[in-house]
Amino acid sequence: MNNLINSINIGSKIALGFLSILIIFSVLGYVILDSLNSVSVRSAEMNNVRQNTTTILSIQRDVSELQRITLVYGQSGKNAYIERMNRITKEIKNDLKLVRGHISNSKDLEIIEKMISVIDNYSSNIEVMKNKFTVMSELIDKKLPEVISTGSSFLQKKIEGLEKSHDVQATARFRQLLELWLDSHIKAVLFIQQRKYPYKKDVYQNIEKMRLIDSQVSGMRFPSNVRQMDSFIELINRFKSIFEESIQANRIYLSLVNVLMAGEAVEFASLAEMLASDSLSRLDVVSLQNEQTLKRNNLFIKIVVTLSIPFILLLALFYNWNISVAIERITKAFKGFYSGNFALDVPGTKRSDEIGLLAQAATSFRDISINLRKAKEDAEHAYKIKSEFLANMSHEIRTPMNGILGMVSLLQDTKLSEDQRSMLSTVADSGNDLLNILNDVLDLSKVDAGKIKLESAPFNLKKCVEDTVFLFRRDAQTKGIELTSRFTGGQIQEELLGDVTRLKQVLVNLVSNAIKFTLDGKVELIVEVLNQDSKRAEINFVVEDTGIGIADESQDELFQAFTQADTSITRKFGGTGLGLTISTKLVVLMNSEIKVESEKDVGSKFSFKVDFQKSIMPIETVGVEPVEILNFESFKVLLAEDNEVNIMVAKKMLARLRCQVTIAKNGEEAFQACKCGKFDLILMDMQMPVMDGIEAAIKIKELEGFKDTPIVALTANALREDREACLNAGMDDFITKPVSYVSLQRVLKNYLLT
Amino acid sequence: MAKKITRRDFIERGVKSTLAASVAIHAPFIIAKKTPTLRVLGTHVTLQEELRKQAMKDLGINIIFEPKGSAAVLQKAASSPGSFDLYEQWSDSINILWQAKAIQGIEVERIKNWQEVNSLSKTGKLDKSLKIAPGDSPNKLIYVQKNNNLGETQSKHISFLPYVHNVDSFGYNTSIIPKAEAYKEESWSWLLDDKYKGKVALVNAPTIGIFDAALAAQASGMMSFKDIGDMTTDEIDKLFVILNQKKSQGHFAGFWSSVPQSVEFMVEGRVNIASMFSPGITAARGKGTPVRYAAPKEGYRAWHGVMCLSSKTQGHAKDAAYEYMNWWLSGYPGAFIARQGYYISNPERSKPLLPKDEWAYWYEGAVAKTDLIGTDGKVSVSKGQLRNGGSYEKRFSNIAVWNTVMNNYDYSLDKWYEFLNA
Repeated sequence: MNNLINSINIGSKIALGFLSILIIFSVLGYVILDSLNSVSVRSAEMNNVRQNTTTILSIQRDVSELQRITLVYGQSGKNAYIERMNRITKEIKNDLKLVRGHISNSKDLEIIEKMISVIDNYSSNIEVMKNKFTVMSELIDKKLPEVISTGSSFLQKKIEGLEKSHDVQATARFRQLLELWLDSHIKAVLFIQQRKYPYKKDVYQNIEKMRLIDSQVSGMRFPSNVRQMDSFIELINRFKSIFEESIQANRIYLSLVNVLMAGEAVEFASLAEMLASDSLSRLDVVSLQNEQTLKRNNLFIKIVVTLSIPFILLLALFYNWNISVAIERITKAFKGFYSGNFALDVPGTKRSDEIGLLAQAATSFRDISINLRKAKEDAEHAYKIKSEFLANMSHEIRTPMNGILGMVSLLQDTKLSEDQRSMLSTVADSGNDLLNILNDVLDLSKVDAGKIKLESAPFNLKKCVEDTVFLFRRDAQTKGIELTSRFTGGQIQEELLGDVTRLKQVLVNLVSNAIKFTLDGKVELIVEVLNQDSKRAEINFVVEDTGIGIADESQDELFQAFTQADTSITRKFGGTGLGLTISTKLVVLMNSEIKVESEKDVGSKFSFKVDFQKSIMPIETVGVEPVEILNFESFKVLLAEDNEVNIMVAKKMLARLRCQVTIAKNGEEAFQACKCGKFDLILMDMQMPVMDGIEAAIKIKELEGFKDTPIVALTANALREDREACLNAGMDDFITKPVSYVSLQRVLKNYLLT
Repeated sequence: MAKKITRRDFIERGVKSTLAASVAIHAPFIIAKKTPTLRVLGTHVTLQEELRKQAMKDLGINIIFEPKGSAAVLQKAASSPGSFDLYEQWSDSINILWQAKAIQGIEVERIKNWQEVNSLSKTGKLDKSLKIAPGDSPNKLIYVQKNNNLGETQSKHISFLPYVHNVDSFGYNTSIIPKAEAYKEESWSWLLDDKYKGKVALVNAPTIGIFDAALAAQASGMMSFKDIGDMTTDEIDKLFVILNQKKSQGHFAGFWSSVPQSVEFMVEGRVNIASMFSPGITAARGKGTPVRYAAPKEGYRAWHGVMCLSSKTQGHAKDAAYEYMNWWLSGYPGAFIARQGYYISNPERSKPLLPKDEWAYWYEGAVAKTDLIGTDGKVSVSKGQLRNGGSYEKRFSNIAVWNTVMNNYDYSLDKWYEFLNA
């Protein structure tokens, strides 16, 4: 799985991520749209249902109206009501068709179909009703009164006729008949109106009575003006028949109106109510469905959102872990490689996506870096060995050079011919040149080997500058060029803290070069106090000449070791060409750099700025000490030195100072000498066989009576750590080799005469 | 109703199409030999397609059935005797039709199997030991008396051919109302029981529905009748006060006007209990609704089918009508109609035509040994079922009232209207 994930490239991963988010949002969008859609569809449906319900209610009202009109029609029989009923049923049918058009539910459609069929039946019955009514009212309102009136007038005439003939018994019978006849009419009407059986029963009893009377009177003889009774029995039968027909017509009419049509109306109302309640319950269902859909969709949205938030977070974490963190790790590895830590593993090299490629690149980078470092270390090692070799060589060469120059110096004090003196002078000059070259090589080696550390001691800047200029006054005079120094930007009142030796070395080198490359004109050492306060002073040292100048293209090479602007220069002007390189490196140690401005054949200007701390000590005005010959006859000096030449030179110098000298060839000999004798001062070479100077000094200092005996180290290594090592070993001072007479005299004077 | 096409049907169709072809060629000849057409007006109860087809086949006449709801049928017959030849309904039509002179007397002599017709229609009871139930028992309506009234004195003319008859009660859906014990628990009072409020239907026919309602009111102790077959106006008033109150409380879900409608009510769940007719029960069961036809402890509402001859029918049509009437008592229709729970007036002639099991179930009240098929071709009685109420004799010994056109029928019509609109 992990492999699969890491084999997909980042672009695709991001695309997949976005696609899944897009899908999530699409799903959400779809669900929301679905909700909206279902709400709108349902609300349309609800509207439909509502509209239908309203129409149905109006239909129900119409049906009630129909029933009402039916009753009214039954009372009046007016055709206008029939027309109105027809119009209403037509309206109902139209309304039903309208509702049917809006219904899709099969159950409701079925109800509507039933309603239509019921109303069809009802409306077809309206015409039937009218016919029945006509038949009924014809019987009840016309035929029945007619027969009654016919019978009444018949009986009336009979009675009138009989009264004239004074037939009392017959008259009484006929009066009875008339009474029954009229009563029958009343009862018949009452029955038809109230439909209570006793009235009907009365009518039938009357009819039976009348028939009985009729049969009783049928045998009677009547006057000629009185008609036969046959006609009356016919009337009775006709009355009975019309009465029964009326009852029947009434029943038919009532069973149509009261049962059939009323039943249809009731059924219609029931169906309408079912439809309405169904519609309402469907309305409930629809809104419930709506609610459920919304609920369901809401739940779904919540779930999707709830799930998608962690999913998106996971996605982000995945991207962070899979891409950002991976890149970060590789970056970290790169940083580690830059800082030289190659032990770090490069994560993700097995991935086949971009990160994998990057990791593989990092791995390659590491491998190359390791090789490079090794190459560099090898080179540095080689360089160091070379530097050490050079340093040792210089040292080794300088020792015999000491001897040569010392002897030359002593030789010059002897009686010599002019020629000899001249030759000796050449030897001395050559020797000094050679020593200078050796010192330069040694310095450069030391700087390169990082063995030079600048000291911070108070010094007098003015004196330093004057000493420098003083050093070259003769050379300048010889070449016929002007050499001056000047301070600008103010005077320095205090001593400055710094390594005056190295500062002077740089200034000497620059001035020396200036004089060397200036054929005529002038060389000027300018000390520019850029700014100062009580604690520090920023000084710009400028050495300006009117010399041959340096071509632009050569300026870059100027500071590199073993390089001069023109190799011919070395040949023409001499020197190692290392001076400027050394100076450059020393100035860097002073946290500055040498700047050069030069124009060929016009002159050069070298400058460097140094920020000095001020010493709290004010400058002592040192008077020029008169050169004196001092006598140290009473003092015993032990010289520990292994080199015969150096011993000879030192012995000669000490002899000139008249002290008693004891020689020890190594530290051990020096120690043994001390155990046996007493010395006022011990000159101790540092590097000796058997026991070196440091060890010997420690041991000597431990001897009784030697605790305060000054021990002065003689060392070719003028470095501070050498001096510190000497002081730590209990030594009191040191003299840099080659030992000069002046330095020897100073030391003796310092420790023996004070 | 999906009908299987039998081989016979197929042959018949072939014959008919051949006939149709010959009609086209020999039109004048065909008109001369015109087959008489018999118009039968009645209800769905007996006007069934199977019977029509069988009768046409057996008699070689054309028969047109016009089935309608009971009120509509009566109404039409009474007012337009010219619109039918034979009228089939219940005995409560007789007084109306007879008084309306819509029907004519049927000559007993022309009824071949008259002697086989049992005593129920002739005397009003199956057994001499029984009492005649209140209301219009068939014997009171059948004979045309000398004064042209109808009465129980035997004569040569009858107002109707006695044929199908049954006892009715109410049906209830046993999936909702628990099955109860016949004659002991089942009661007319259920129809007015508030437990079933909103799920009750009555038949929309005052001559029938009023008795169901009256039996219910009496059974539930709300009122009693001096003679339930001849209610006084006060009794009617009181009854309808009860009914109207129930109606306005929403007790009734509907008033059915035809058997299919009653089935619909029950099957669709519009009602759980309703006054019903036997074919309705059979049909509802056929549609999967478990309807039990109650055997009320108060007794049944009995009815007698009447087949009447229109007063306007004469000549060939009248002959055809007699043929059809005789066909009804010839066995097959009695057997057919037994399958919807109806009895025929001369059952012995139908007995050989019914499988023993069916006869035992329908007539003897025995347990069904197999699934029994109804007139609609569907299983109407499952194996193991027992006809509620028992045998023909047992059922007709428990009559509470006969369907009747009471003296106060006219009065009840108004009340019925009020009831429907309450």
